[in-house]
Amino acid sequence: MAKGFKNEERYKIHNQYFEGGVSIDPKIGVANSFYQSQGLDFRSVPSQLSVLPGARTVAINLQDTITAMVQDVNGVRYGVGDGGGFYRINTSNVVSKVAQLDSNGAAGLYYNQVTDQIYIPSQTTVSLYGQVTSGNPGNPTFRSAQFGKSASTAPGCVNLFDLSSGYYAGLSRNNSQSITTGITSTSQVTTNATQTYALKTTYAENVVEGCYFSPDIEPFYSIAVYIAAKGTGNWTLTLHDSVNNQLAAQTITNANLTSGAYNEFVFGKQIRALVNAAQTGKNSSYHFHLTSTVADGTVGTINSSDFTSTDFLLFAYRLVQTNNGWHPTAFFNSASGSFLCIGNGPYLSTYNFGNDTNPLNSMWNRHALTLNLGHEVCGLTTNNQYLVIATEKRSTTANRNFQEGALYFWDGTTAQPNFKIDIPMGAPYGVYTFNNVTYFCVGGSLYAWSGGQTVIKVRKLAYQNTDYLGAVDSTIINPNMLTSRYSLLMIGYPSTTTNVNINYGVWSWGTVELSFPNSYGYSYSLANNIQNNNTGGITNLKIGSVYNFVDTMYINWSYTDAGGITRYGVDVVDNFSTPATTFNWQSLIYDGTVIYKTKIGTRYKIKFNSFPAGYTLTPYYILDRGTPVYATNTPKVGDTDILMEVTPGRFKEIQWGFTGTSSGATQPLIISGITMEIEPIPDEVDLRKDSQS
Amino acid sequence: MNNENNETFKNAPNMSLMFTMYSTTFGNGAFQLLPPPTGNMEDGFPSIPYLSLEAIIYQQQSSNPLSAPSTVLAGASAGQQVIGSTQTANDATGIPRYIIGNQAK
Repeated sequence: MAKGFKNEERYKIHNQYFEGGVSIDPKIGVANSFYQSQGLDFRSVPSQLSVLPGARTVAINLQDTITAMVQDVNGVRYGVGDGGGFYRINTSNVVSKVAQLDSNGAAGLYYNQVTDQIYIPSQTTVSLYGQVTSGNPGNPTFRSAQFGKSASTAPGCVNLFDLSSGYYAGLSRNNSQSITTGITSTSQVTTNATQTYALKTTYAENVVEGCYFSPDIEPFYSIAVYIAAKGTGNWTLTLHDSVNNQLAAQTITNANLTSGAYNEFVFGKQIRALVNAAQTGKNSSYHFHLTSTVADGTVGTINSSDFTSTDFLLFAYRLVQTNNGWHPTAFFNSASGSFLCIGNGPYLSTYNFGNDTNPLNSMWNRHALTLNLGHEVCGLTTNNQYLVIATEKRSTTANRNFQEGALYFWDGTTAQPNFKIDIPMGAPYGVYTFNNVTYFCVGGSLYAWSGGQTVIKVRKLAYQNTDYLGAVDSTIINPNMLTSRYSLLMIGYPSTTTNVNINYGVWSWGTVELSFPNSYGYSYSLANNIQNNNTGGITNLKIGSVYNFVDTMYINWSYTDAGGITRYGVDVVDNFSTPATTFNWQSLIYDGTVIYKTKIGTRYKIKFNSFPAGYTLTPYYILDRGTPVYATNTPKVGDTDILMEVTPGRFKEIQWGFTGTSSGATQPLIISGITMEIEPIPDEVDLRKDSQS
Repeated sequence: MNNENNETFKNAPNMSLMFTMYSTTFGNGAFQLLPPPTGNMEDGFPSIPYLSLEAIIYQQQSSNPLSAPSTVLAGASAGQQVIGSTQTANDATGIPRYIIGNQAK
């Protein structure tokens, strides 16, 4: 209720309810909001602030940053690091490294409780660890790259082109299509080649000197060619696309060639290709040439002197090496079956657990869905009957980012996603479904989707824009940064950023119950309280992932210290945590909605329950957005308030707050009221030059 | 002394916002902007109405059900719909105009 200037009573600007949470504006917000808080619980009992448990570091013996976690049925947890380390976290939170992947970890991990195996994607393969609770307890087997390259058995690769039908429906080059397991080695395959083609020393771009095929899997790992007689020369396989761009050229010296066998030309890097593209036989999407330095070798063919009928096997990597380095995982039940889903660059891969030893390509479907080419999956979750697939477009140059992403929705039964929502605002990071609302982070803000045509911008997380930052902003949120804890959404934010203004930590969103609003706040900092990258000698600050298991939340982090040493760790917040070592709160700016008028602050009081041992609490106020003025005293144990004189107190805008520390405390400090007393000085002329204030 | 900051009546607009004035196309049509200050000194912080995420989600789900009408007869001006829902709002002619729930196939 407004007060007239004639009212001589001093105003008490009082904060006694706090359920509004952190406002995005320094002056206005929903009722009972404030400008900032750290380490304080303002929801559980909205009429008070209490100090939250703080994170404590339980391990620093890691070699990389954990980006994905799972728990087995016995309660042992596992984490995979971005550097490929695979860690076991026992029931006492002792972390030990149990394996090293063949390449970097990919922020994906899945535990199949039935088979008791953990599936661990790395950059181009998927490894297997188990059985973790049964079989040989305490001694699981790590099967590195258990799911690696495999050969295509699709007609476009195996069958000759049939001019009469217009399809690759002719004779088979080999018996690969009758083999009932996946083909991971040429030794599994028997050639059908009974004829030969004599190699030349050069090739011509014509329809008889290229072997054309239409692949169903990519990226290419190798092409194995059946050599009838190797002759005396060194052989070179040259891979072209449909317009004869050279994609790869691989040479095997004669000494390393074997006659009467498949010889594998391994490209050494992934060769990206279009799969299942329309093809018309000899104008197909890809072809290769074979040459020898001496024209005395022959390759096995189906038809005599017909190079297009060469017997070959096309091997592809299991996973696409992505720019974002991620292969997020999710388990998905659909009407057509249950799958392990793995984000695979511009594809969604599915595996039906059909054969852990050596699945057919139909069991491990690399390209169950083809998404936007150029996009890469950056998160998976489920919402109702849909698998939600978040994709981004990731640049290889960190300071020249794309602004492009999408959410795909798939019910598991269709050849293409059921529908799609473009996210032109940027990459939809950290996608996570909570209360059947799918949340994600884009460009410094939190978004939500729950069945509508549009995505909903919920609120600012860290910034609305980066105007005047003076640096290129590159802010990344890893796939597993959002989780739920005590019915609240926890948002680890960010994973990495070049923006020095963003505070690293775990932010919370939600409400204690339906009568109170959803609110937002900075709940948990890292145990070391490092909050800003590129500040104070800290570089490469990273939060790899955040996971919550009932009452235990893990925050996985790393940074490079001033001495150039990179440190990795695991923080935990659980029922044994002591109060946060630092906490703070700051009010909105008060101007009485008469910013032009001078007022006088007189006293500032913080009311709390009996002040517990182990705490400090320092009130402060800020006049006209100047430097904080801190109290010089702190409450004694057993005190129930602290009072601070505001002097000199003339202001047009005033803001107040407190900072606190705890050490050795075991119970929360509970603050029940925060009051600033204002003298409205109604008899003073309102409109004056500021310099006359 | 009254403290406007502690009053919760400002949350009341949620119901009307939910049913009538929030659309996914046009946004929050009923949102109340803060009036210009009166010149009277206030003893609390100005506050804006709280619009819950749940209200928007509910409104979106109600007005944009994921399952489209499944049977539309070619050439007819009106399709056939089989309504499976817990609540419907019918117009004067008895045609469902507003559905809370899904339209069954």
